[in-house]
Amino acid sequence: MEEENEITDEMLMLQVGKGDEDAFAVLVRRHQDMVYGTAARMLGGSASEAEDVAQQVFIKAYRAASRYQPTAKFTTWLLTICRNTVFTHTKLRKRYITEPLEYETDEGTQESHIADVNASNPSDQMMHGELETAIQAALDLLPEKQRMALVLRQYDQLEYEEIARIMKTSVSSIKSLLFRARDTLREALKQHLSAT
Amino acid sequence: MKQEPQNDHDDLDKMLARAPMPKAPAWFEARLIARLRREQARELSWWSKVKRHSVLWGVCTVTAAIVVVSGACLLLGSKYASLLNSPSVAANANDETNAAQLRRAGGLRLPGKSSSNNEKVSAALDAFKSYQEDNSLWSDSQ
Repeated sequence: MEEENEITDEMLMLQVGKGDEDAFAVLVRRHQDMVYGTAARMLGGSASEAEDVAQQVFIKAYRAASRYQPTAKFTTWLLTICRNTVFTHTKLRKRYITEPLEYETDEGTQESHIADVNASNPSDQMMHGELETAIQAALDLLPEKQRMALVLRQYDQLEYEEIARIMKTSVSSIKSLLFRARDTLREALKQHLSAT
Repeated sequence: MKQEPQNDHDDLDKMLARAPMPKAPAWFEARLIARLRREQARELSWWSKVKRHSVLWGVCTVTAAIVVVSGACLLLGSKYASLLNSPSVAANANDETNAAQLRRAGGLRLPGKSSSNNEKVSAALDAFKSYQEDNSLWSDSQ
C-alpha cells in the first residue's frame, strides 16, 4: 500500500497503457470519489446515473491509456474526460426525458437520492438530506458550464488554471462563470443562508 | 467585475462545505472492473465473428470474380465467333469475275450461240459483281 502511494498517477497510467490492470485498479481507488462526486453533482439525479457516468469515464481512460502522454496532470486529463462524458450524457438525457423514482417524507420534502455517507445519526441525516437537496436543486438551476466550474472549484478544489484547461477556456472566463454561479446559488439558497 | 462581499462568499462556501461531495460507493471499483471485462469480452466476440466469416467472404469473393471473368470471356468469344461465321464470298467467285472482265475487255466471246447469250452472261456477271460489292460493304459495317 505504501508502495502504491509512492508511484505517481502518470507512472501508473503508463503502466495501464502496457496492459497492467493492477495499476488501473490503483488509479480507480485513488480517484473514484473525485470522479463519482463530480458526476453526481453535475447530474443531480440518481446515484445509479452518477455511477454509470463515472464508470464510463474510467473505461474511456482505460481505452485511451495506450495513447496517454503525461503532458499535463493526470487529474486534469481525467476530469476532462469526465466533463466530456457528463456533457454528452446530459445531451442524451434531454433527448430521452426520464422521471426519477422519488418519494416524499412525512413533512413533504423529497429525500436525496445520493446516500450521504458522512452523516452519523438520523437527525444529522435528515438535516444533511434537506441541505443537500436544497444545494443540489440550486446547482441544477445553473447552466452546465457554470455548474461544472463551480463543482471543480468548490468540491474538487482545483486551481483556476486547471479548471480552464479542463473546460478549454481562459482563466478570466472561469472567474466570470464562478461569479455568476455564486450569484445564482446565493439567490436560490438565501433562505438557508439567512438561517445560518 | 463587481466585487462580491467577502461575508457572503464565506457564508456560501461554508454552507456548500456542509454538504460535501458524495463519495463513490464501496462496490464501485468491483463493478467497474466487471463492466470493463464484459465490454472487452463483447468486443472480442465481435472480432472473432468477423474472423470466422472472413473465410466465407473470401470464398464468395473468389467465386464472384471467377463468374465475372468467365462471363467476360464468353461474351468476347461469342463476338469473335459471330465475326468468323459471317457470310463471305467464295474465293473462286472472285476468279470468275476477274476472268469475265478480262474477256470483255479483250473482246473474247464465250463459245456458244449468239451475242444475246453473251449479253445475258455479262448481265449475270455484272449482277454478281454488284452483289459482291454489296457484301463487302456489309462485312465492313460489321
